[in-house]
Amino acid sequence: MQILNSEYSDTLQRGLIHENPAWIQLLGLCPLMAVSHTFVNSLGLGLASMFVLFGSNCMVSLTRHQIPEHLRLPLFVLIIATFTTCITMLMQAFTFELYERMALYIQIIVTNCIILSRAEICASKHGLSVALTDAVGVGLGFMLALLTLGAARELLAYGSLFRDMDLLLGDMAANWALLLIPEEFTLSLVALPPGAFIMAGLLMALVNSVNYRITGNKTA
Amino acid sequence: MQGNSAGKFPKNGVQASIRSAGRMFAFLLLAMTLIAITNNFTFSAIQENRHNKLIDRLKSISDKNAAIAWDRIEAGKLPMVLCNHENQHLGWLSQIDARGYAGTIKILIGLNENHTITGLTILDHRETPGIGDIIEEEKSPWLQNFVHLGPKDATIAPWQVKTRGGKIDAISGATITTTAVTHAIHGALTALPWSNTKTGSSLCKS
Repeated sequence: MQILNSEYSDTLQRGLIHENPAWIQLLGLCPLMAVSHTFVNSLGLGLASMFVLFGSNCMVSLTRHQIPEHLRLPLFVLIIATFTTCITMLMQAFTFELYERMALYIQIIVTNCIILSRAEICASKHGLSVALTDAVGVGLGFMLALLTLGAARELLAYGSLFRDMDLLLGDMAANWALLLIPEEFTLSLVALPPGAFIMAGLLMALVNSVNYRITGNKTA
Repeated sequence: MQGNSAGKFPKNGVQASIRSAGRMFAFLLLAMTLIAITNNFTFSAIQENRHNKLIDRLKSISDKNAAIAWDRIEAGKLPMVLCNHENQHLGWLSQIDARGYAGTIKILIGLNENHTITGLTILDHRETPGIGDIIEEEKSPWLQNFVHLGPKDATIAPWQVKTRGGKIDAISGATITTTAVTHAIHGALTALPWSNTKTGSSLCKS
């Protein structure tokens, strides 16, 4: 982190760890729980969300002087909807099968509170470089949450890791699936919605306890 | 935001409304431009992906040895008549619905010209993962039990799952799901219009 200006590194660390959108702020939980039963789904949704977050933060920041106070919410939503529509088209063109699997959850990125909150809190008040750093931090934070939950659930529910990665990365990833747990020891509960809540709760507890140890913050 | 940008706007009145609308419209144009560019860039790829997926699906449940003119198939209408390039009738594809444990199970069924089942695939279902989803072909070969059955088999009286005195092996834990699918397929072999309508090349004339 030394190479970065401390302001940027602070912004990054906040998004990634201290104010992690999913584990600390508890935002964006619907897509987080709904699609995260395999790693590849998590990665796909994470990349799509990052795309929208980047686009929205960038555009809101660039046009922030043109956005009147009383029109900001409709305009933010319009901007976010635009980028969400773009990513649905791009995914249908390039990763069609993955898109088919979680179509609805790509479309409802538009209602993801994380993106709207970054537009409101950060991008509408800062220049492009800060807004983009914020998008990287928060986007990676959400991605981190998705990937940990996705990996944990896929491992326990299907006994594998990185299955179906070729849906996102093409033929080179066709053999990436690792079978780590034999089928008779897997827990299909973890792939179901209640399993999502249980696993998310456990991971949240883990992240909070790690955060607590690092910062030593008694009130955490 | 309270400062410079908001200050330029009068708080109320016709002029304020018009200026707000104008601002919205400008952003709308920007949004439409972005979407139009993306659409232009992705449209043909998306259409091709959708068509290919459908054709792959249809191919997988129809007779692999029949010379079906796939290039003539247009997406959409079911039941679909399958023909070869010489306008000879080779079979049907259609969708049948079963009332499963948790909603409608949509099954795509392929029949040859004698109404014998050439293949089955599940289009959509909401059965319990890990239990009812064994009807999916990736999870279990159960659904393939029905392949090669024809109208003659449909007249066998105990067309039921084994637990209810029939011939089809139900899967324990998923009796409702498997029974529903079994009945729906039986219905397709006996009751749907194709089983007693005309066959032959007259179907293939376009």
